Amino acid sequence: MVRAVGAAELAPTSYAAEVRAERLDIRAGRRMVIKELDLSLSTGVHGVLGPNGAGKTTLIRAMATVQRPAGGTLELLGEAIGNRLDLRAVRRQLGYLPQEFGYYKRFTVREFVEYLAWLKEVPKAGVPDAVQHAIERVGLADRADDRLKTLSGGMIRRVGIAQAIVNDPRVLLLDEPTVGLDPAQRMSFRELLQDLGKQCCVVVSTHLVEDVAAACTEVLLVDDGRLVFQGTPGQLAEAGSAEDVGDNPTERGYTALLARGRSW
Amino acid sequence: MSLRILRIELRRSMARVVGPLFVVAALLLGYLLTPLLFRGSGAWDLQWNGLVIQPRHLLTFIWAFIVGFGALQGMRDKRSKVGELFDSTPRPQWQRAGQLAGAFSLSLLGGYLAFLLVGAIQVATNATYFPLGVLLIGLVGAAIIVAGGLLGLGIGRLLPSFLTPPAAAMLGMVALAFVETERESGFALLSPSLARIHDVQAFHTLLPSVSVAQLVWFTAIAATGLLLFVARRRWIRAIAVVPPLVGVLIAVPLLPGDPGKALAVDRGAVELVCADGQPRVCVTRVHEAKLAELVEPAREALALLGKLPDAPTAVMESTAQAEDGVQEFVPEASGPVESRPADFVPISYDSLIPAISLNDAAGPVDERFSLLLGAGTPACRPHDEDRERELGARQAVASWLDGELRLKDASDVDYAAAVQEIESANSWAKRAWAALRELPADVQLERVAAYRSASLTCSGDLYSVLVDGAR
Repeated sequence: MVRAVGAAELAPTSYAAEVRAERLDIRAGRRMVIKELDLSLSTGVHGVLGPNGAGKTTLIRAMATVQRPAGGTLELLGEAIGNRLDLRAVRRQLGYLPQEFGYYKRFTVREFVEYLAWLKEVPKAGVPDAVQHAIERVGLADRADDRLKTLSGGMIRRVGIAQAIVNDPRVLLLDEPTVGLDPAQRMSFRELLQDLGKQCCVVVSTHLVEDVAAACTEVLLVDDGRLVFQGTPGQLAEAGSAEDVGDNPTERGYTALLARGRSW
Repeated sequence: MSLRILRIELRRSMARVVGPLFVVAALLLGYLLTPLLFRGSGAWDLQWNGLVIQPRHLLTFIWAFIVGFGALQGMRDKRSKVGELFDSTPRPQWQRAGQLAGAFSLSLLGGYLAFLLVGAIQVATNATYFPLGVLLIGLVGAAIIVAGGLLGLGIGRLLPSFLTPPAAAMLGMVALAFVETERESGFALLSPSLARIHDVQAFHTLLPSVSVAQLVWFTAIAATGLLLFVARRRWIRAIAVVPPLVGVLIAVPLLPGDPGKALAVDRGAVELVCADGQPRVCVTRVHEAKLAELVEPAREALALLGKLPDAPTAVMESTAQAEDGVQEFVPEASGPVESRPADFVPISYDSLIPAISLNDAAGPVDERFSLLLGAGTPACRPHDEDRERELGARQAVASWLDGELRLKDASDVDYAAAVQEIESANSWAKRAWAALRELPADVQLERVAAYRSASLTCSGDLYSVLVDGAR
């Protein structure tokens, strides 16, 4: 499928990395969840790993512009978003699948993805093609005209991915996208991720270490609000040794790095 | 605005049900409730003024539900938990919410228009008089209905709890019921229903100042609902209290102190329209369509009445009650005696007006016979206990003028008390007819003439005047 390429996309970028954070603090409620985090992410698939409560979701929410940082700077596509009132230009380039993905049950798949395309201000002429393309990419073409309430949990998750990519985002944020997907679907999702990572900056938060090893170009390990590791999946695997807990090298690397971070 | 999104919302939101539900409810009430309780000559399916005025009364039963459905719809985003995702998108909240508010309002408007269309098809076969004021009154109706929907949406967004929609509907019902009892203050006219204005007669219209006041007030309510629904920031939602305050300040001075005074006689409607030629046969402009079929029986009746001394020389629709202003109907009075005309036969298409009613002229009792009842006079005691005696005497008089005894047919009447009344009047008529025919011809004429003059002043026992020659 050929996609219309807008002038904004052809313009030379004025930034080095799609997402850049410097001494970033983010509060959730009273607790400081992200503490003095430095980060720089460009095109590719970045897997965010970490235990529950480490701050993965909070970090992604801040990148999605729904959570305002408490301190430091966070730049998306070269724009600092800390105190900006008008985030429209940045938001047009975002795709976001929240951990708790809400949707209108009565809408069909196509209607809901089209609705999101409208919310993301996708130029009118390109909407039908963009919607169809997004639905095809997540393998829901045969269910496109079914109501969302008739779909299974895994299919809903794929609708969530379809709406996230409908605007061909520069920054794609996926919070636990593989929850509810069966093994076959996870395989095709990994392929989709690798494909998407060629054009944009994909940030995927997950519990599943093997997803990261298989599909990501880079791994970010977050623990207690800090970035404890940033490197390739290979480097992650090398960090572990036979004594560490885990079924495969990546998992052993993961536990080793976490244990090292908590050296007390 | 995006038409594609509007179409999706019309198909998938509550908008798909509120409009159709409105039509069904309004038509049910219009067809079932109205004939039982409030069927004046200006009913919604008879006259243009009635078509736009009477649905207001139906709103007493519907408006609160519109608010309730609005509240249910207003909670959609909260219930669907789409806030997190939608907050990350560039399109402003007001555009998103505006799209839904637009679909919801369009659906309600469609329902209202469909109801009006059903009424209009019937009115068009009945009425030729179309005053322009109808458009303003109809527009106010649309504003009231849309305001209800938008207010509901705003409430639903402000208080997204599963209790909110039923509570909003209940509160709306209670408020409307309260206004129904609040009869002494012009504030009652700020209610979606027109308070105690139930019976609409063909001559009635709403004062333009009342319509303007209501338009201002309900536009303000709509603005409040819309602000509550589309606004993102708290301070803008706080501003939502302003429009109703301004609305009240503008509207209340325009309203009459007594809600009953909101209805006025439509001067254009009561203007008399007469048929060509003599003797004169006239109806009000609002009943102009009935003139053509009235002329012939009316002239025949006048010719028959011509046997009597001081016979009436015209048949004219009475506007007596209308001219007196729009008062609450008082059953025991059949109009001031002075207003009983001697020089013409007063007719009416409205049972509330003291004149010969032509509403149920059909079958054996045709229009000519109706005009001869009581020798061309209205009944004096149409609401008394023993009215059948008078009614029987009136039939006997008409029969005498017409040359043969004619009785009312009760076979089409399914209301037991009415059947009994017709049968009783018929038996009185037979007795009076028999007694009258036994008299010499010149005495018969004298008795009928005496009946007419006694009936014109409502003096004495009319049956005895005819049968016994009492004075």
